[in-house]
Amino acid sequence: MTEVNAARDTKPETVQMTINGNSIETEKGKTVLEAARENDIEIPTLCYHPGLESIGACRLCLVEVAKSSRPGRKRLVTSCLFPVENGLIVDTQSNVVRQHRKIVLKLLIARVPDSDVIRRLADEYGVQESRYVEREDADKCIMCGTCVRVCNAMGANALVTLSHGLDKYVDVPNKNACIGCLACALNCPTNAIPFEETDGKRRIWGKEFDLVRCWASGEPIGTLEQIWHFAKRSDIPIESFLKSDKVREREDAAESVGVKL
Amino acid sequence: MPKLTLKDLDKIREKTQRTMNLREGAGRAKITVHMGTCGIAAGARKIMDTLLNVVEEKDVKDVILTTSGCAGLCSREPMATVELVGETPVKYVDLTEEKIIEIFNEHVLGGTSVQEYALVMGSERTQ
Amino acid sequence: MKTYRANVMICAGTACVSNHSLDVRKAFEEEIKKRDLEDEVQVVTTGCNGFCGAGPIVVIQPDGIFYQFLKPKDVPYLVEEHLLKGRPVKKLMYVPPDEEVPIPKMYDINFFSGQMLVALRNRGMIDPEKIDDYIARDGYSALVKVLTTKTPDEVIEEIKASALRGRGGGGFPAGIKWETCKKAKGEPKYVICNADEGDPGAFMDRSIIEGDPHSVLEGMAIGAYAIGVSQGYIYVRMEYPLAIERFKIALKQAREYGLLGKNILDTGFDFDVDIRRGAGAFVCGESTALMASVEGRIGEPRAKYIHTVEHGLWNRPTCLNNVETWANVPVIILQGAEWFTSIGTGDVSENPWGGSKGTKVFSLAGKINNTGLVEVPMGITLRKLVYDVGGGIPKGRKFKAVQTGGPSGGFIPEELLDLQVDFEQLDAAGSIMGSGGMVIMDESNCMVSMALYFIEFLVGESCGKCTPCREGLRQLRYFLKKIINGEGTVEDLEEIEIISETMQNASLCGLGKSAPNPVLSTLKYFRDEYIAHIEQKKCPAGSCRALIKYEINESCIGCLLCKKQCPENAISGESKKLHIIDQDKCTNCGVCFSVCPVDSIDIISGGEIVYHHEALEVENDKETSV
Repeated sequence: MTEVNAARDTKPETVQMTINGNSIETEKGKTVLEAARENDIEIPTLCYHPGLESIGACRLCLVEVAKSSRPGRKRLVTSCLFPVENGLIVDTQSNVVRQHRKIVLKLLIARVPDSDVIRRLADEYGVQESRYVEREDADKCIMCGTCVRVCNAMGANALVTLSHGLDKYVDVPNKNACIGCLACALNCPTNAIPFEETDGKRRIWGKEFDLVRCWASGEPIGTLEQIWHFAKRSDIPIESFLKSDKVREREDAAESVGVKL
Repeated sequence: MPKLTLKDLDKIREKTQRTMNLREGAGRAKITVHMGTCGIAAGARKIMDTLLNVVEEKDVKDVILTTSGCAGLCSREPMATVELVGETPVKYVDLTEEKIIEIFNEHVLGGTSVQEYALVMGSERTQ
Repeated sequence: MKTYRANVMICAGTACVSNHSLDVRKAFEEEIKKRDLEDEVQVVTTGCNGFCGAGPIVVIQPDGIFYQFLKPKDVPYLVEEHLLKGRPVKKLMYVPPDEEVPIPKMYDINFFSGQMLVALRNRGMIDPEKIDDYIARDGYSALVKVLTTKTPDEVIEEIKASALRGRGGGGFPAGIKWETCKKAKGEPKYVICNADEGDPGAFMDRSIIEGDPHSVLEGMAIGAYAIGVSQGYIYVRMEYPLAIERFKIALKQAREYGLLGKNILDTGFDFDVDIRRGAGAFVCGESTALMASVEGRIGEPRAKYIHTVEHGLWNRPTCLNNVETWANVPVIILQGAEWFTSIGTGDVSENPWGGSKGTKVFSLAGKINNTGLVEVPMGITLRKLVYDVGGGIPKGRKFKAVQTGGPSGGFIPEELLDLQVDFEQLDAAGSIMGSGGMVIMDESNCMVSMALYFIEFLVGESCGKCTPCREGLRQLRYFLKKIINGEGTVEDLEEIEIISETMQNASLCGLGKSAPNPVLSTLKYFRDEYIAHIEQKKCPAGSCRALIKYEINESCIGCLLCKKQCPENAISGESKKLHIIDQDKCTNCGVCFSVCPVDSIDIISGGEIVYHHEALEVENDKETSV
């Protein structure tokens, strides 16, 4: 009993720091990115996802940091990974930061010239013409690794990166592992993963799935594989999965006033 | 192989010291047995064998044994030069197995050259 | 113990082995048996001798006579003359370039006399597959000293006082790393030996492991004792099978003797080592990628805001050091930190960053007479290293640059030859010490091509995780190729510099951060070459195929040799008459140029003759030691 109380009473250590000249208080263990977003300070990101472990791959969230003991000694770090500490001085808009953000985006445009998302970001951060060479037969993948991480988080572990360097690409080598849940496609920052849903079927990663329909409304809910997978994983009875969101909302609303549908 | 104790390590070091001195060309004394065709014909190899045996018998570790070509004085073969560190080399001539053993004990181990077997320093003839 | 009067030390490092030195050994064994010399002469195989360009190498002790380029057919004569009759064989000895008199003794040869062996202390003296040989030369004495007379903290203090800095390229003070690891929270802790040596042309670590594996094991054991570790790992690149083999044998023998394993020498200290093999990735030489690889994950680096000494292998405190760093440790323990700091440059009384102490092993490669491995005191001038120890530039050509530090390093031009080799001075010149690779270039090397060479290497080795490195390398390659093909513009140079700056500042790991170094370094010292490629479509070195053409001049004697060799049949002409190259058919392969016996083929670039035939320019440019 006492232990539980003790845990609840222990507050995480606070940290005092400055971002763009503003004093900020946050908790130890957070990253500079989290501290900035808590305080409505915008830092652009591509490979960051609040539900996944950060990997610092896209390099767009770069900021300049310095310790208060040596304010002149600045470093360029990825805010999604850099831990907050007392006295940290953060600058998310210095010329150095802007310049590198611009070049990172310029490099990305050369990689994914057809991506509207990247083009919009690039325009926002001042990239104009570029003499860079464009990737041949380019898709929209910026190799941020989000799809792989989210697929692992879903427990399917179907997506992997293959090869390395400029030849690196993402694929599902074992089609059996893919459950067609669309987590990868829906979380991809550049919508680089194509899929289609027609005639009660979903097609993604070269695999075709039957879509299961809601017993009440007839709307497609997901693939059978996906439903099975999440039911097994969560110990929630499978019947609960066979309802569409709309039906579930109605049921919840009714239950809250004591009516069972 | 049983596990070593500290003493064993020292023993290994001691045992291999002769080999390591040989490989480094390091030693307190160097004996060069003159070979060449004439030397071998005169029996220089037996002199070398004798030296190898006596070194092993007496467990001497810091003496280098080596060979060189003909020294030029073919009529006085077998010949050997004994060189102690810091001293002038002494050439011994008309060697036999007994003589070389005596030279080894007196000069190499004892420190005093054996005049009667030596060639006079600097000259090519004895009396 | 058998008494021999001569030891035939045969080099069995990878280079000599691939040159059939084991066949030479067999020939020696057979001939010695035939001549009845088995009881007098011992044949010993050693690790790399260092003078790799002259292999197969044999050194006869105690005479110290050095023989080079030996073939099995040379052996019977050598055995008869030298071993039996005592007459060393002159024609098999080393002769300095452009001279005639051979130098019989190894230590009289400049290549060897200029060296100081610390990490390579047992070079050529021991059979690496015999632990007794290692013990005989004070092997494991340092471990004994440490286990029986020093506390772990005292060991750390000694290494700190020695100011030993990492030999893998980072130059981080080893003592401080050990101390930080010891103080870090988390159990169990680990020590790692980084034997992934990926720089092209670098083989220092390979030679140390192949020639003296116990020196590394002993160093790791001492470090493990100091830090409080009982498990070590050696990560060897898979391209070093002989090194792995020698390590396995060394581990087996050390374990049998109880010098590794549980309760070493009854002191209660446990330490053992496992070998892990790489799989061909240069990036796995980076410490976080290496540890990911050991853990069975993909060998990709992670951001190092949290250091591996705090959170490394399996998130535990881990001390990773390079092969050469570990090999220095036993010597420092035996001879003392003060002795170590008496060698090298700078002042380390305040802190170890103040100087570069001790020695460094370098691999000399490229346009140099004495190709091989050398260990020299820190602070030696580049001039002495290149001309004295290295024997100068072959074919009488002119020194142009020395590349140090591999793909992370830079090029040092002629005007900086008096620079002292140490961490700080190499950094200041725009290069790095790196792991010790030194590639020498002469006037026939195009610096723009050299920059592209390193970029291409890194394109193949980048893990591809982060944008600046992956995409930056794509663009650098694009712009450099443009320039080499004669399509470059001055704006391209600006693009290169801007991209390079972002790569240096924004890349995730050291590979990306240092990738632009070769490019920036050539732009700093050889910008005129870039400008020549761009503005005059000229390659001053006569190397870039898109910018050169071959022309036969009037000194042609009409020998028909080039005509016969031309793969495109582009040369016409009759016997004793001037030959002509048809430029439309010519593909710039350069075969005619290399076979012409009388220097009558010029390389034209940008409208000028840029290069003459090999034999002609014998300028007396050899500098003697400073």
